[in-house]
Amino acid sequence: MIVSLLQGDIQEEYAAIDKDTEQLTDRQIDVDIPRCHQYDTLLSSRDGHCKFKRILKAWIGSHPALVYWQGLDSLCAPFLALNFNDEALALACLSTFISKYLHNFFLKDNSSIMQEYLAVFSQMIAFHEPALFNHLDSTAFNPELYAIPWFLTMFTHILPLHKIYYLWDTLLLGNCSFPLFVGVSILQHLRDDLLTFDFNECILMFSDMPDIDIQACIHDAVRAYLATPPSTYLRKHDHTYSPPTDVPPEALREPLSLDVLRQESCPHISAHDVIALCGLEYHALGYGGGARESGPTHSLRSPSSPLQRRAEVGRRRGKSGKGGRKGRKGVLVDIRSQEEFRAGHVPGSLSLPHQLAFQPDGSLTPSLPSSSLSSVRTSRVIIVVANKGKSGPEFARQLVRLRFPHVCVLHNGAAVLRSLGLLTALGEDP
Amino acid sequence: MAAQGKKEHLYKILVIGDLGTGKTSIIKRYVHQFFSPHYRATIGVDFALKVLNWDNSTTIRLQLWDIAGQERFGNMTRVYYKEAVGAFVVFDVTRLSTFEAVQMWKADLDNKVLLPNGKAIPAVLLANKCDLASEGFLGNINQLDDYCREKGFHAWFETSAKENIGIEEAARSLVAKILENDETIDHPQPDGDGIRVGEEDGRAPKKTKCC
Repeated sequence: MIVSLLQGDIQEEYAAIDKDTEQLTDRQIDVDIPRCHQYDTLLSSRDGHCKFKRILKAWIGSHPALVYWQGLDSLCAPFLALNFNDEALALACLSTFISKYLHNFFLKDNSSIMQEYLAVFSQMIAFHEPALFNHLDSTAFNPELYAIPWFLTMFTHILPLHKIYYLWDTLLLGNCSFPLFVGVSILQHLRDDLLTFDFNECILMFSDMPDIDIQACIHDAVRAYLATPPSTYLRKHDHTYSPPTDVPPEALREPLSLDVLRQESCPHISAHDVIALCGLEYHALGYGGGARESGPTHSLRSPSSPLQRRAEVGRRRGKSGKGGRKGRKGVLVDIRSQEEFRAGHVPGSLSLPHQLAFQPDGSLTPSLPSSSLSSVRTSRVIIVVANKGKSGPEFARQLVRLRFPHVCVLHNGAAVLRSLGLLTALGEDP
Repeated sequence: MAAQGKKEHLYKILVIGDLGTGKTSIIKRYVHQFFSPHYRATIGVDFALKVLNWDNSTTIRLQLWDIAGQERFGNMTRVYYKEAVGAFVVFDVTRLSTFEAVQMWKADLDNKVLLPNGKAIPAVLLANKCDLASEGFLGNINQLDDYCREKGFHAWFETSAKENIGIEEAARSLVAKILENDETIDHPQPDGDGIRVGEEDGRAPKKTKCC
């Protein structure tokens, strides 16, 4: 009944929108529609073209602050194909989808939104695929060269309709950052080729998107998403973000500026996520929260999202296996001097002073802590703890060069741990 | 490796112009000898690579950057212009507005990229879809010659991706001009400082390789 009520409103709204008056963008729409998913018999029909144009004009008319970007047509295509005889519903779906996943991407000047999204995407590549990140970085094959159509159209420009439906069935369960991991997963599936490709071959590959196994791709995207502490992909332009309550403010982090995002290869992580990952507790200050059993929770972003719940079910069904123990998901790498480490550090963290950590050839200097680090290289999130400045990001970058996955930098460094009362002097370890 | 010094060049060429003028079609025709009326729109940038055996001693690789035609993308596509050494500016002879936009595209090009000597990169004007040409639009050809001189185009050609007209000639003309520039402009030696590993095979489009 609710649906039918909604339906009524949608129909009325749609009927009220002006879809006929000639607009400047009509010409663009006329050029774009006849080359948008035309292998589909409905979308390529004459009737389909008329409906397509009406819906696009209705969307533009009902969103005066936003504009038609090429790609909006691709984004509209699946909704039209699925609701071919209900234009109002197709428009309502399109509008809702855009406001959730592509907030402000269709502003006339969307560059800050797009560039932030791509910069965070780049950090997620470094986080999950360090070897590939190094290769793409050294060939200067940047996301700006290939990923704009991926995200601006939520993959509708590069995938055929039947794969879009498959992908979106999962995408719709996730939040507006989940598409980043779909992007990472696409790269993972092309990794073996990409690693051997030079710049020319890379750009050619993406100009004509190879056939990808979408099912496997989605599976890996969900896995990458769940393995990523939410604060690492924090974006200023994520309109859905609301910080968790009952947490000391210094344990959270604010988004980085675009310049910093671009300079630093590795993402920052909040103390809040570190506490959850490493099984620490908020000692002082009377905050009750403490760590949760399941590590950093995506509920930070969207309280028990359907994607999260589905994954939880999968996890419970799966082997109980290792890693169940609290605090076994992250390792802190303290890169301050030995004196500073002795004076106060988080128990269990590895001391690898930056000046001594690497040999001239860039490899890790052999030591007990460095072999401990190497032994957990694929099983833990590696959190670099430094003083404020460039040291932390540089250390993290070097670990990425050495192909360590899951490397991040603690936002605001050791000072945050100190203010949260988490540092202990050597000899006082509990 | 041949002792007589076979030369290999890699040139980055931009293809710009209003949306729907046939940029992608021209490239597909040139590179794949193929035409379809329904290429998808270009969002951001697409690429193609064409290898030319220019003469017995010279191989040329053209890296063709197919830039999105919607002017909104202008801000985003600035980075794509870097290190280009030539450009095609395309308009559609059946639509006057796309010809009027040519000046804007040319000015935008000169604003975003220059040769190492500070001069504008050579640009060739393509009057595309000439198989559909409506009478009177182009006026007489002398006018377009004047137009090119005035606006700083190296040359212009009538083209049709559909009928395969004029594209090879236009490309030869542009490449000849690029080669001419290449011989007169000094550029850093490939083995000089600041060339990173990995540029070897595609990063530095202006480099001349002697093997």
